[in-house]
Amino acid sequence: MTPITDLITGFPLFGVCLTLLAFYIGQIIYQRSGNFALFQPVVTGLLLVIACLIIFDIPYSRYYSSSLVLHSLLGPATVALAIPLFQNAKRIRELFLPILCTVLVGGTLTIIIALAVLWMFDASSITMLSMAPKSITTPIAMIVSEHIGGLPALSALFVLVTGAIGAMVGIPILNAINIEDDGVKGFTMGLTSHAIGTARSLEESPECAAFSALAMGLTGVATALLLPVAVALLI
Amino acid sequence: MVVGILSLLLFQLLGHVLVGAFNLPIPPPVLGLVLLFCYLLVRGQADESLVKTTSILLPLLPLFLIPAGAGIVQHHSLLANGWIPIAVALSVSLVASLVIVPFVFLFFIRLFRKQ
Repeated sequence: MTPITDLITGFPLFGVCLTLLAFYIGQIIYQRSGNFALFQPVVTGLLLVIACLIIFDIPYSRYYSSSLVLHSLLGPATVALAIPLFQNAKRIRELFLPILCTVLVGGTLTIIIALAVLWMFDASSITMLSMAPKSITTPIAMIVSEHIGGLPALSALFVLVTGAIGAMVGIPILNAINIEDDGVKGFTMGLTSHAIGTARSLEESPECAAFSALAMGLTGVATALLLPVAVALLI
Repeated sequence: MVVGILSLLLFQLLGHVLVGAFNLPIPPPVLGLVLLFCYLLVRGQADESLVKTTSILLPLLPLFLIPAGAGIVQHHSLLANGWIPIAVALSVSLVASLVIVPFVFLFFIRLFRKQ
């Protein structure tokens, strides 16, 4: 680091500034592109922050500690997902059994496909174990990964990449295969792409976001409970 | 607004306390979400300030993921060998799930409707 970068990154809210600026640029690019799916503000923002840290040789710890305020808001924002869920409680109650069955079948399917591909490439077992919780929200994924013998850091990376790709291609793919129901769309987004997919679903409709939040929560809890059992039986 | 953010934090705190006290394998905010949802179901309606706070906070959720997400820079060495199988596995499983899951859901909706 040069003295001037050292001075700038020493600002206690440096990380907040950098993150907001990067996200703002991401939003502008997204709007200018006519909401083009590949330019998700969160993806552009994340890449800009990473590029900045590498180019200016800024230690991650310094960025993280000065952007902690934003990170801390992830908790209350997660709790807030209860509101769209509540606003759609009636429809969710009607579909309770299909929802539960789809979480179990869909959640298992996405893990098996990923592991089958890794197995064909002859990947290491630690990669496979770290990959298993890739479709669930980061905090649960890290706990599960550690529990079954994977690397939590690697799992967190897989989760983020999955969510980012899901936010980019999810809705266009669902439109391409003629899925019109916002509930079904949101449910698929939440099951496959957790919190980032849910955030993307908010752009569609509150109903889409509600089903996404529900699928994210259920898939997370089901995976946390069942994956360790499955691993114990198979190994 | 103040009441709204305070309610969210109190439910997160409640989740935090319960997870700690009973050593639960769930992240505290997820438990907070469940508890707030149950509270709203019992109460039958959401306060205006809670709805207003949520409408401001939720669209910013992806922004809050960036600080932790940038942690990737610390782990790039883990990927140096063998990132191709990983990239293929992640994209294939994601795209396949996106195509299959909606039809699984629609199948189960039809199945349970008949009964």
